[in-house]
Amino acid sequence: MAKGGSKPHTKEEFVDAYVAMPEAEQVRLLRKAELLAFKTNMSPDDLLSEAATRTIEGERNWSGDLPLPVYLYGVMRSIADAERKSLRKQGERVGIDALVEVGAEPPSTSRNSEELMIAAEEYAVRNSAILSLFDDDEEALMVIMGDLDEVSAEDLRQMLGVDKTAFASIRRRARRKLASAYPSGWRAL
Amino acid sequence: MMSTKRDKSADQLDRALDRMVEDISATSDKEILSEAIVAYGSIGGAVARVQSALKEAQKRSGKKKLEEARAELAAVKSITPFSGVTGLSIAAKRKILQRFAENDNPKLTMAARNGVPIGEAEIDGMLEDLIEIGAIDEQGNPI
Repeated sequence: MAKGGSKPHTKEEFVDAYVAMPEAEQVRLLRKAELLAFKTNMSPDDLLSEAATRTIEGERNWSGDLPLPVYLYGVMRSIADAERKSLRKQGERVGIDALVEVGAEPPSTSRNSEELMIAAEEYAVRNSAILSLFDDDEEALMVIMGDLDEVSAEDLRQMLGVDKTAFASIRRRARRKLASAYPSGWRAL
Repeated sequence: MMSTKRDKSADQLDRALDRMVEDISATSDKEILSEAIVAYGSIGGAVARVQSALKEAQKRSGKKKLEEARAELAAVKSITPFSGVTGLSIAAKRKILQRFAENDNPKLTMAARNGVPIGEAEIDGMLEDLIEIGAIDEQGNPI
């Protein structure tokens, strides 16, 4: 393994370390990939293999002092964000073209405003889909709604009137339910 | 503004997912391994998927390298072989051949000695042979 500073690991070191990753870290990585896949049309497995491919091909470098799972999560997140940007553009185009194809009235406002409205709806649909999973679990629903609205964890905990352990347990329950409902990420586009 | 609405929805989703990712990091080894059994049937099932992603990456990378090598080879092949020497003037070509007239090409030797005219296409063929056996380089220089 490379040592000292941020000297990048070699491709061989990367492969060896990847294979030797502890099981718990591998499971965490897969779980995180599932969540990241929710942002895109890529599957969790694709995100993982794309992160590995970019490292093997030297497009991304794993530096010496960064734990491998942290590095891989960072690369996957960056891929997911880039993919989402690209999807957003495609979605905008597809949306507007579909309107034209079915003979709908062309948007009276500027084309850009129409495109943005379609994109906004797309994200609102995803958020609603998450919330709808928790119709029968009020605590989890509150946590997710709070997360979406950037309510602090502490405020949420106090609103629910539970201790930290119980709060962590509610969030975990919500996360597992989401992962179970969308094991391959969001594929509705 | 519409752009604000779009960004807000996407940012909201990011925040919710980020907090769930934090929860995964905070989950103990024991608990995350138990979770794997429920979610994937076994710990091995999850590990196999993660390892399979690496194998897929290695395969993709190998395939890409092969394609690059093929493209490189095709590019080399697309260059007309021996264009250097065959692009020389007929006189220059004859001069090169003269240097090898005493070598083991009977036809060439005979032609050189008897002053039998050889067509340019035939000369090119002979020059190509000389390059192939390593007697001259692609520019006609002796090696």
